[in-house]
Amino acid sequence: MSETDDPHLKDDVLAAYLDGALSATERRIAEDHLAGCALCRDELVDISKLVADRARVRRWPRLAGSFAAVAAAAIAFAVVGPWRAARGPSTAPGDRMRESTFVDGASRRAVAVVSPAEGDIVTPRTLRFAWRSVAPNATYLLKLADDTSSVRWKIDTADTTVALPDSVQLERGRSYNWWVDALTGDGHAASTGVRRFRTAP
Amino acid sequence: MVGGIDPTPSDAIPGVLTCLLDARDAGAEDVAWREFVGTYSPLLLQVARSTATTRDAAMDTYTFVLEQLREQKCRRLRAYAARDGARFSTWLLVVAKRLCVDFHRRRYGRPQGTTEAQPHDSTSVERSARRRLVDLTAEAIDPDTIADAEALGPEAELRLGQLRRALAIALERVEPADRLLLAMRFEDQRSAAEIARALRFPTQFHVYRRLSKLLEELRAALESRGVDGPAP
Repeated sequence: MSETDDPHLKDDVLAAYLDGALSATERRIAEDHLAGCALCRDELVDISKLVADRARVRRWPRLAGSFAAVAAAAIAFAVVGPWRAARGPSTAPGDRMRESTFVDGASRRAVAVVSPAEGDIVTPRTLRFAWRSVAPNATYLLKLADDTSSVRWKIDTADTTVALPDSVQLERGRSYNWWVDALTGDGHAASTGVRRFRTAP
Repeated sequence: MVGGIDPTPSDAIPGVLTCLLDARDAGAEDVAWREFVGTYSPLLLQVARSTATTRDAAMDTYTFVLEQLREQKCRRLRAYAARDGARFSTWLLVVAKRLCVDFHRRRYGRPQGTTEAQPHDSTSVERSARRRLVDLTAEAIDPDTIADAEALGPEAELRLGQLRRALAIALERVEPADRLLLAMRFEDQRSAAEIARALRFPTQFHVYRRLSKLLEELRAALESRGVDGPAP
């Protein structure tokens, strides 16, 4: 699309149009083309949405690290969570919520937990996991592990509340760890950190 | 058009790009490339995700975009020329988006019915034209109730042809910016919010106001040519 013999708007013209940086004459020529070219209009709409999304993202803490940071966020879904579960919750709940470092120093948002509260004693039948949304387009991975670090249940969801299904049987009087990792559409990652509850005896 | 998607021209020529393009040897280029990727990965991932339906597909797309940006000593990046008021990040979004489209065409082929030679089939063009006529005259008529040319008698067919010619002439006299607005609203059926964002209107209400004024002008132009309604 960006070759010289291409009849469509060139990269720099489309970008400058979106930024409002074309001269009056250039803009008129661009608009004349756009009015008659459905493909370029589709591109214009798609890219203007990306630009607008990006402008919103800039108000958030930036994921300023390398691609490794983003890749590591995905890997963390599968690896870091269970590893941390194996260690067990060794610090106070408040400390976990204040975790702010992420891989190579880029900022990491926390996912705020609604329920169950840290250290709660719960009844499995009524157990419901809930957390605050971190972004409108975020997806979440919830994992539940027992006190031997064995993952008992996991679910991928776009919701911020999940009930424990009947198929997952929790033993009475036992500690369980759970955590939610969030990934937003713009590459930001966030986590609840490892949380703990105990089932009623 | 006025408004402001992103008015801060703070990244017209970013330092990481300068370092990359000015790198004197392969080692320096590697370092600069890593810095560039580190800086723009969120942007490139955002674009890749916007064109892919799964995470794996998004990562494949992202990888392809990186390869293409780096090939031939960053040929594509070297094509960037800073303009007053324009942002490098917007330019990179455009380039990345087009590369993502290229990737999907290579992998999945061009979607049927959207070739550049024939972007719309004749039926959709016909329906668009009829929809436009109805909208322009602002009458509550279901477009499907307007008879097709084939089903009309010779007189009605002639009248329909005159209507179309009158509309085409009236549209030719409209400013390109307004033709673009009409095309987005009535051919593409974009929402006012999408149009406002793409054409830099301050709000969607400005879009409605401009459309209303335009339709009024077009209606007057058609009436001056003896067209007083959408019916053939």
